[in-house]
Amino acid sequence: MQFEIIAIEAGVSRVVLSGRADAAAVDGVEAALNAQIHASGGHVVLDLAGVPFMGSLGIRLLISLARTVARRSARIAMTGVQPQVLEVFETMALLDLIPHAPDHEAALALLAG
Amino acid sequence: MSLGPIGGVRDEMDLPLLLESRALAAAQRQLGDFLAAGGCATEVRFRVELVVEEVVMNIIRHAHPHGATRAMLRVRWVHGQVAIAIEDNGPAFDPLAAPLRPLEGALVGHHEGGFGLHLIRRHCDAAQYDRVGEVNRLELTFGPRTA
Repeated sequence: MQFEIIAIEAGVSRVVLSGRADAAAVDGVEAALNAQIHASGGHVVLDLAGVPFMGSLGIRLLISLARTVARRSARIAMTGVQPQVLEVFETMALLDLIPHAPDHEAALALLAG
Repeated sequence: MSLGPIGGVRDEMDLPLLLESRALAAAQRQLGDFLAAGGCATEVRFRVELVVEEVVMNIIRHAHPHGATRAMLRVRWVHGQVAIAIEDNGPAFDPLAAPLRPLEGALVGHHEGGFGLHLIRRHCDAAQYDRVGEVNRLELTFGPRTA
């Protein structure tokens, strides 16, 4: 799994994750991703369009990111989640913590509140 | 005997598992190739890989530190369904009977664990646990979902 963080406008970063989010992959990126999210500041849009698989460790990683963002009183939203991954998120009630938007513009609207 | 995909395609496979997450990733690739070769629906394959990930990571994280030294993943086609058996020689543990933490607490509290058991129970179609001698054996069945 890989990630890229792009500043898209004042106070909002887009975090693009790509590849399978299995246990080994999450182990490989967790520390660096958390550190960069912590340093980024502002709201976060998570783009998961390139993630075809995510298990419980991936979900834990997303929760950790959401907490980091919440601690600075910012908001986080997801977009592009593939249907089967979205089904897992729904059964795990993750969408209560990180809302999902159908596209990038809708995600920005969620962040704007 | 296992009955599954059309003749000529391998219909069963046994994979010894090293108890380490990178080895699991490699085993998942082999499992995915096996299922794809048998014509497994993408939706079923996703659920199989998801549940195998959770069961084996439980063994790696919780049984390995307490004595588990080996595990085996067995997969076969049975009447068009995917039958998985996962065995390990760790302490007795039934993932189907272990208490579940409420999801709400796991999401907002400081204990982020406990998702794996939810995923295991919700994403297979049938499951049975047995302690056979010194071995945990978890049998899981996956078939196309109609609803």
